[in-house]
Amino acid sequence: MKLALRHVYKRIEGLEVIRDLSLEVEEGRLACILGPSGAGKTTLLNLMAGITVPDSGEMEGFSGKRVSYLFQEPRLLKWKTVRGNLEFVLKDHMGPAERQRTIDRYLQMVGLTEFQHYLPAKLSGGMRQRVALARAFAFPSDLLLMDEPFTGLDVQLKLSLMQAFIDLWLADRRTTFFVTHNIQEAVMLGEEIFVLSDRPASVKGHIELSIPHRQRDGAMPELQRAERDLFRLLTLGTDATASPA
Amino acid sequence: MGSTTRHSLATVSSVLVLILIWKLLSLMIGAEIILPAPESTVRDLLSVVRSPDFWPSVGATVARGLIGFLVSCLGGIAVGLLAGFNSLAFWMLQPLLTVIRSTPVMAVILLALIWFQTEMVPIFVSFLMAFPIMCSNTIEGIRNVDAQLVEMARLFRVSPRRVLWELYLPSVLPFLMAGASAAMGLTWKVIIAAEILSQPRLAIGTEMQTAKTYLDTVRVFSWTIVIITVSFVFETAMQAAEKHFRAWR
Repeated sequence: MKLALRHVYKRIEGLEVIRDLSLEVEEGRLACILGPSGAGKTTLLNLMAGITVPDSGEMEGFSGKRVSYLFQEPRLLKWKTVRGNLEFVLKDHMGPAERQRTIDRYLQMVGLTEFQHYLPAKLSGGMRQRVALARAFAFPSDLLLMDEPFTGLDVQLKLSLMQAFIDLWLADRRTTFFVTHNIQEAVMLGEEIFVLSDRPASVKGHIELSIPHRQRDGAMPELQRAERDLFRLLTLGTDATASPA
Repeated sequence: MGSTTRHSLATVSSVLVLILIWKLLSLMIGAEIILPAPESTVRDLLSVVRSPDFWPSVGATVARGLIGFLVSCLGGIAVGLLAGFNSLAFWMLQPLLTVIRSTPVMAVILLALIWFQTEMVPIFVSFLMAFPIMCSNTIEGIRNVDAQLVEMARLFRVSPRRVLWELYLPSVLPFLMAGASAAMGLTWKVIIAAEILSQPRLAIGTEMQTAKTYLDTVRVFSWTIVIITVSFVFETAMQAAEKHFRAWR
């Protein structure tokens, strides 16, 4: 099965945000959408989530998909514990026994089992984002959408969160669209990377990275070449499609 | 010494200083009819508490206060919810709230005396005073619900019923409790004023007015202490409840 957008256009309050955008991804892939800030990346995710509909163009494979979302902020209910926050999104979708098992499993995967009865206010920023990560993966979705979830974190925290994310993702390889303006994040995580133009957004380049996630390392020549290609694509505004690394 | 102990010590000594000043003033004035001494007030208070009409009067005043308070809570929350979710209702409500808020309590009492039976006057007045507080706090609470959380809940397809109970209610609750706390404090002040003018058969206000008519100043003091106590008891209970609901902050 494929997920695709074909010649999609979207205006928001008269402003053209997306113009003639096309992309195609096989199910089970981790796709990165790399674009400058304010390019319409969030609008693109909203289209995929079904929050908004395109003005014209086609979307294939998105309708009826259950979506989980990882936002830039953790978006936790502060009056519910870590466990309660996971319960909140799972309750309408799973029976009690399955729910408890799922929550236990994901809390363990993000290393928060000991903190399950804590309120968010008692956790650090990184821990809260881990709760959000566990919530996104515990939710029985077909599609995972991530809106710059690692932005605004210090380097150490970002690396450990990205590692937690990769572990979770490799465990079930859920189709994921990951939006970012950060080239390093794109090459560390993306199996496919789509480069967006400035607003109105369209895809102006695409590369594939087949190196397994666990082997990726910023010093690898292939990744450095990919970074250079992406940088060129982002800055020069050419229509060239780089060859796969 | 723990800080709690220090705080209670400060409270106790402040009360003692107040009583001392009261005593000194009463000695200086030297006329019980103007300022009764603390000890004669205590003596009179004890006889008031022992009088057969004491508990029925206090009960009747408390009942009126609570009815007015509960009606304004329910009405305020209901109207506040409507105005919180609907901006048309919000703007339509503003002039009404402004009028109610700026009308002097005495004007409300006088009109209520013309319109209603004696028993209803204090209830109506306390309702009208507390209603705008509950109403605007509910609106403020609704407007403070985090839109990002609502969006999160919608994306994860949480049922609307659960979003209402588990997201909206806990967000609005602190505002409701703060409003209820303020409304409760106001209720006891206006209820006495309303009772003094409307003279229900059993009421703290009626007792105070009677004492005043006979220039029984010490009796006015005694009943004032009674109503302060009533107000204190209910406000303490409200604060405890408020603290309980804010535990997650």
